[in-house]
Amino acid sequence: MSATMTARAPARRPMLDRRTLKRWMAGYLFLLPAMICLAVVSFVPMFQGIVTSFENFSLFRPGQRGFVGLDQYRYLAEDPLLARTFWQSWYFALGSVALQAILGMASALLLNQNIWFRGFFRGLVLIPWVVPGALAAMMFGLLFTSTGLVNTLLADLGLVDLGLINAAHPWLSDPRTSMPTIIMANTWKGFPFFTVMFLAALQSIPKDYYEAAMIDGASNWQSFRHITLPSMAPTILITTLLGTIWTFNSIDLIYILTSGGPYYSTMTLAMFSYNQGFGRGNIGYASAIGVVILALMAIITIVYLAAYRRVER
Amino acid sequence: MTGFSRREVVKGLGLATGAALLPGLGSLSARAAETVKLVNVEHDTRPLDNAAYKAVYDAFRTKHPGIEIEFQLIPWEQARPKLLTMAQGDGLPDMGRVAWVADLAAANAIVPLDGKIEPSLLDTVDPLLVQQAYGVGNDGARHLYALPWFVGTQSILVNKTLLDKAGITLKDSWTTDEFAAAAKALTVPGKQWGVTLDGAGIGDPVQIFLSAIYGYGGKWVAGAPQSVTPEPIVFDSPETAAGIEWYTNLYLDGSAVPSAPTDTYKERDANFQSGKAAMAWQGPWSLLETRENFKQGGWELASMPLPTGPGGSVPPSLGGGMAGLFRGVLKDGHEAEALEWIKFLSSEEGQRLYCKTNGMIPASRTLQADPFWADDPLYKGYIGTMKNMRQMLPIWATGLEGLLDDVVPPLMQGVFLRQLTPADAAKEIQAQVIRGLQQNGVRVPS
Repeated sequence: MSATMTARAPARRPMLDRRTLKRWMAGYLFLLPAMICLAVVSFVPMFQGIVTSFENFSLFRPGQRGFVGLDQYRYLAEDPLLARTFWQSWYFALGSVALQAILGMASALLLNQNIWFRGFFRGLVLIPWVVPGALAAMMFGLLFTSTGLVNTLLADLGLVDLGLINAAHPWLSDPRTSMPTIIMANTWKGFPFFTVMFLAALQSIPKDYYEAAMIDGASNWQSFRHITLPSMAPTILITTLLGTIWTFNSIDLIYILTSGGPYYSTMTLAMFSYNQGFGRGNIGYASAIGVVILALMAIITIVYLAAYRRVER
Repeated sequence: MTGFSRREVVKGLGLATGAALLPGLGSLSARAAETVKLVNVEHDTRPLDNAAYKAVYDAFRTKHPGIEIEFQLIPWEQARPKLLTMAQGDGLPDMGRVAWVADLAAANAIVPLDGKIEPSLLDTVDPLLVQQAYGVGNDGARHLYALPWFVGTQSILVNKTLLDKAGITLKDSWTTDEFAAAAKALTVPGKQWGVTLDGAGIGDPVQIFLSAIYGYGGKWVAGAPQSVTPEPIVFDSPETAAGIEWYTNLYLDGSAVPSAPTDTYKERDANFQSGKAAMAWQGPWSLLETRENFKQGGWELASMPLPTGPGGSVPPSLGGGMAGLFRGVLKDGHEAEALEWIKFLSSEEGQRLYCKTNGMIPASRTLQADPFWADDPLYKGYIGTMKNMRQMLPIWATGLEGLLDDVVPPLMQGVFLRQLTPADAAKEIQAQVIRGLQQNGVRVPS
């Protein structure tokens, strides 16, 4: 007992020894250029946008930019378009991402099989992803015009004769079909990203799992449900998170195909912000809408990341 | 004999080269000092517009060899917001086309020309077209900001071959009822439509929609649009609602191309040039190219004036090409040289060269009488409509043009789709315009 009492306590190692500190410093030094770039191109404009949302910054009143507190947010809360654009943004983003994920998964599963010209098809599937957004929009605009290829095909299939569709149905000019048409265009444009991500995840699943499942008599569907999906869950979560954020903020397809119309039926928050800022010159108001989008995306990211952690555990 | 070292040879060669180049460099720098370089900005990007500018510039250079101009293009859809943001960033060009006088004047992006030009320069231009070159500056006063050089008036462009087939003859004037009847007669369901309208995009859809409304007696203010004092907005009137009803009925009764609600001017032009529509309500853009396309399709192109509304109300002719100075010129200190360019461009010589090359209509009434324009049936409708030139947008309403581009198309689409009544659309347009003007710092009296 006394021996224990009298024994010299071992010297406590300092929290940060020199070597650790040096290693940390090196790590931070390597990170520094990236952090500076990120700050300049992302954080500073974001901070500036937040500050501008509290100002009455109008392009028509040079030099009269002043602090107006929460006025822009008050105007926004009273704007009848806010609720409509809010729900339509979700319709556009979730509709597109859901279809992209389904199509991406189906094509990834196909391209993971031992098929002829697999390399060629893997390259081919990337084409929509590399086509510029403006070009894709123009292409879909021509396909879905009243005398476009889609109507011609539908007529040839006999749908017009059955009375299911109008011979010259204006897909983008009818509020019932305008958003679904844009979602279709966006799905075509964005699904290759999902394919590539899912294919990479599929290839990392050990073959042994499937062999063991086969020996145990599991069906293809059971293997997919109990092996493929759980193994791919982190990738699915991250890919859908990125897809949601990108789609929520994108305006190129909507701007070119419908400009938010007809009668606001394809107006999203991002398009609404663009119109306020660059159409009406109300940069302060547009920034307030931008801050709302930022807050929404931050919430979504937190929820996704929480889900991601749970899946990883 | 003493030999030269390699170092000495290189040194000698260097000195000799320097001595040979110095006088040349001197003359180069002298020439650079004499040459003034300016930047001109334009937002029409059709091939013939470039050729038109080149024709004017070549003639200008023979008279002003010391002025070099770099021509920059900003696409039409982006020009207005880009110029406004350039004004914020102090990055404006020296001069160019000024299409949104009221907005650019309020944003302090353009330079007033009062006292800087000889008034005789505007003598041959229709005074009502000159009025459109006025705006209210930051000082709250009315100033002349630009010099007109071509007219951007609207008319009804027609596929004469299709009209002949339907037994419709060209007239010097017609009513809105006659126009609607012609559009209906020219429609072959599912294949061909009487008229193509653009319900989306900026500029054209609003101008065309409004001129139909003005043709029914609708207006923005009861007083003169040139007043610098804000007046109550009176857009929400039975005349406006009647104009909206007539215009949107063209679509609702099936006489207009079904994609009208989301068609921009590009689709409208394509609909007309492909024979999908027999008539188009549009400005004098690309007339020569359109005629060439028509020839290839075996069709004949002509124009008719805008139809007259009930009670003889005539839709006004709007817009035009106006050249002005941007704030950037003050930074460079070459205001005098830039002024020379816009004066030459808007002179009769400049107008003739520009408009004969790309088929636009000159602003000068003397030139309009030239057989090139006066005797060509292609211009008949435009020149006929020009008799009714008047300004409709009040110049005190800061940012009104941009506001209308944002407010009007969706509400027009609402009526096209029967989700709004014409009267409700008029009311909503007025409410949104007043709210927008207030956000722009304009106090609109009630």
